Amino acid sequence: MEGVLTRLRGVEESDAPLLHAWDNDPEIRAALDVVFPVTISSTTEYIREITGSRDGVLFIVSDRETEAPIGFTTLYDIDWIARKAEFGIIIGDKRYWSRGYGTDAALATLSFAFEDLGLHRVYLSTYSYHPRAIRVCEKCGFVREGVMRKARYHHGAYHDVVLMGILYDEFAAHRGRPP
Amino acid sequence: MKTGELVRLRALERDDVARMHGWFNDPEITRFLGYSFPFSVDAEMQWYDNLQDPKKRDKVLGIVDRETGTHIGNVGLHNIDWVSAHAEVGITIGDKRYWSRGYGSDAMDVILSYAFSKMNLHRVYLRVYDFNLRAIRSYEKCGFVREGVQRDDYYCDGAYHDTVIMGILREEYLNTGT
Ligand SMILES: CC(C)(COP(=O)(O)OP(=O)(O)OC[C@H]1O[C@@H](n2cnc3c(N)ncnc32)[C@H](O)[C@@H]1OP(=O)(O)O)[C@@H](O)C(=O)NCCC(=O)NCCS
Ligand SMILES: CC(C)(COP(=O)(O)OP(=O)(O)OC[C@H]1O[C@@H](n2cnc3c(N)ncnc32)[C@H](O)[C@@H]1OP(=O)(O)O)[C@@H](O)C(=O)NCCC(=O)NCCS
Repeated sequence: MEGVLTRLRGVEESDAPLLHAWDNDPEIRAALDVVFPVTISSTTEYIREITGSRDGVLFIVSDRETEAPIGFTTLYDIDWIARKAEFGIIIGDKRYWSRGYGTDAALATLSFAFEDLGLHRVYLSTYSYHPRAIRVCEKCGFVREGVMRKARYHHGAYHDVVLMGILYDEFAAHRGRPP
Repeated sequence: MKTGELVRLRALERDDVARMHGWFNDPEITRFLGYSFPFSVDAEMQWYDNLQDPKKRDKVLGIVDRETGTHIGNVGLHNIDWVSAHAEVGITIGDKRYWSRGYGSDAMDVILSYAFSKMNLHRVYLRVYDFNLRAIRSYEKCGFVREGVQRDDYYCDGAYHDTVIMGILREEYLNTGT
């Protein structure tokens, strides 16, 4: 799969050190539903689990120009009956933040979700203190569906969790260029 | 544990599994729960056995009619998140003769009191399908606030349906004076 700036490929067990480093970076962790340290063995186990399953997929995102791996995207908890999946994204190489790579990789992943897997709905939750993630989702056409009040404890306070979702019809209509 | 006006909650026992097997195979019930396949007695028993694992982040209790002692349903806290101090609540009055007579709201009130006053949680939330008006009404009676609508989140009976997210915070619960 290719975007304009990024390319997606399936994750390999040998990618574990990369994912492990990203998952333990405090600035990145602030955006994730993790609190305890992530071990290299749990990362490896997770990669095995998701590559061995048809209910989830994890892509390594690389910079098309340099081929350097810069992050990952994932569709997980695929529900084949409701045809929905939860979406996750990390641009782990922080030098790439706010330069369009996240949006590009997200759109390539959505196109896989809708046009290759035939899903009907993709959703995610993010935190109210994380406007960059919310903005990326909005740019891709996700709609804000709700706010779970004070559902995340972080840095000594409770914060809201923002729920976002996008349906296939919406994606097909604008292909990542919502009006 | 606090007793309700109509119900009390107790631990589930192995003997309850056969009764629950009936409830969770009843299409009039399962369409509200999102279960798409029939459960075997073995699967139900396995679910029960897993529940005994103290590390599990789910606590499910039986709802008992105070007057007759009959086990009429279950209520449980799921996905307990001890850091963010919240949990998802799920409830089923499996004995349909008890529907719409206040038992569900009463049982919910007991589990909320337990979640806030005993477990020191600060938020409880739930998911309910948009067509389940009786459930939504009973949650509103208990003080839950509608927080969002996940569009086309559930497929059943040939169509997509929305999932409504509702939540209640500890201070909201305590302020209702229950
Ligand atoms: C969130 C993340 C995936 C975004 O990727 P990215 O490559 O930085 O995003 P993009 O450059 O494509 O888009 C970022 C947008 O947010 C905007 N933005 C950046 N900081 C912002 C802020 N503080 N407030 C509002 N908008 C902000 C940018 O301007 C840009 O929007 P624009 O194109 O309209 O100007 C990436 O930053 C990341 O991986 N962060 C850490 C992990 C994470 O948060 N994952 C997501 C969990 S839901
Ligand atoms: C949902 C459930 C737990 C509620 O328990 P209950 O004991 O039936 O509910 P209560 O009697 O306490 O409250 C129901 C309220 O809804 C009202 N109600 C009943 N049917 C209704 C309908 N079709 N539309 C609107 N309101 C309705 C009742 O009148 C009552 O409100 P009131 O006291 O103001 O008159 C129970 O009905 C049940 O287990 N249903 C099947 C499984 C299920 O749906 N579980 C929940 C999944 S999220």
